[in-house]
Amino acid sequence: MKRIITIALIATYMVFLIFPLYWLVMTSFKSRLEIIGGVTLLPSNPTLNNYYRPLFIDVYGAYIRNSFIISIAEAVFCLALAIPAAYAFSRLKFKADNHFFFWLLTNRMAPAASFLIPYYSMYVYLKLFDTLHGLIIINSIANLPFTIWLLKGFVDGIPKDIEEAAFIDGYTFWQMLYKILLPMLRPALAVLGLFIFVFTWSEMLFASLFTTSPAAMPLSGGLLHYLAQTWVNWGEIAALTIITIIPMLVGIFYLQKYIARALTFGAIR
Amino acid sequence: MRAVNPWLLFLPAFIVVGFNSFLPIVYAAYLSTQRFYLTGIEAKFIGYDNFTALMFDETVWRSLLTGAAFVVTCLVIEIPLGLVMALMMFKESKLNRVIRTLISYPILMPPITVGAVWLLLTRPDIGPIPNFLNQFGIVYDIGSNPFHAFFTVVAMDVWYWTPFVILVFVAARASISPEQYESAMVDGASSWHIFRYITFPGLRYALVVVLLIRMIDSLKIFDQVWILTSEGPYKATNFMSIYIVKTAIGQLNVGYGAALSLFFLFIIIILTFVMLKLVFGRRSSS
Repeated sequence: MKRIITIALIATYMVFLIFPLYWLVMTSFKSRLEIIGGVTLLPSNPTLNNYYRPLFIDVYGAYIRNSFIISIAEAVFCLALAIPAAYAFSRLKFKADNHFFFWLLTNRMAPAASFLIPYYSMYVYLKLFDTLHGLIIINSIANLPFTIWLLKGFVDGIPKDIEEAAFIDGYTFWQMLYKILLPMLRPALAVLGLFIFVFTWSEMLFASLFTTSPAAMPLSGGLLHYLAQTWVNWGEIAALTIITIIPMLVGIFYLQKYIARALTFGAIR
Repeated sequence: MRAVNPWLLFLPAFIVVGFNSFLPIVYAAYLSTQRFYLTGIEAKFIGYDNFTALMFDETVWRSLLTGAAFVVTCLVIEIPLGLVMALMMFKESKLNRVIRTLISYPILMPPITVGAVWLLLTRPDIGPIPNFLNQFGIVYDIGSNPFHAFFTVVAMDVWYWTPFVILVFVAARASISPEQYESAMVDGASSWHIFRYITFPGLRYALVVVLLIRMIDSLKIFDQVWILTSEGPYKATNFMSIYIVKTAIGQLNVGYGAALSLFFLFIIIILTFVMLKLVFGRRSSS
């Protein structure tokens, strides 16, 4: 009896969770007329037109490229800066290190909307407006603190003896970092890199307001503009939404068991 | 061997984060003392008038109240639901692993796509939900009914974030040692007593963590709501972030927008500080 209730509850919950995705996929294969015409559970004449026009005729192909460039560059940039910083916080005592560490996380939690106005003028003035590197820098306000905070937890988990043995063998600090520590951190770096990729890919506010041209605008910004412009072709909106989600769905298989740890900043392991 | 200076290791990251946070805050502080519209009219120094206006701006307090009501409603649903689901699917089995992977997909969805999906579901003209309810004579319209708008945004947040709550409780539940349960079984404890005296205390830390993080995140909510309802009918979903962006972009009122930004940032920083003290304080002080 208890088992039946359990199964029923989980099944109901999963329907609630999965129906929106099902509906999205089905909508993307429907013609415009069918979508306006009423609710149908399956597309009567499945079509790929909704994918074809935005990608190959409109500029959305360029937006996808920009999204990949920004997200990958952001992951590399944050990891490169975070590795030495995380090591400093984990291993070395320095003045006010705890305050700096807390300060980092306040930046992660700060609402993006509250930085919108000053950034806008700064970015126009510094010629970072509507550029790929401008978006990479702006994204690191949240991603860099996140990376340092979690990476410190991973460095904490590596025994100190290994480093000390390396120093006795005559390694300099940077040799030790790259030849001993980095290989041991590789799984952590892969997971964090993927999370940074996901967060950067998802960022919408700055992406939509601080870029205007296909040379710099990423997919999330493009999708917002599409939603704001044409309130007609819902099939294409569904298709673009799916294209925006797909890279994330690939990540879920790999990242699922790290989500609790990552999104609680290591408080839950 | 200790030839390396910790400041040197931290400096590049410090410069980037500092550039991204100190500079904008200082600049926002300057802007907040100006009467400044992005319409070409010259800015004028007005001291703290923007902050006085903010204190008497009814919309500010309504936005904060809407945000607080939203946070409470979401947490009241997400925490119990997440706890029940986590306790049903925490055991390590192949099936449970598959279920947990399936249910976690919303977490990694970009917020903008969450908004788009819920728009497709709830728009009165094309959405299956209004269509379904219509057959029972219920008119459901997030564009004109403030309650429908508010609770649809709540439903969207429950849909989006309960999986995260589940995963946190699953991780916490898995770290309670099985021996405690075995000895309780031997002593013949009832399942309520087992929950009350073993499971619940074991999950208390996770509960605090998830409460605080979800609280701050829901208060900041923007992307999904911007797409789905924006400020909503009768400002039913006019959360603080929405109000700031509307003021800055809609009305081009940069001076007042900057004051609003600083005010909201101040609230979030205080909440974050409380969270850090409660969640991480005891660990870092040891």
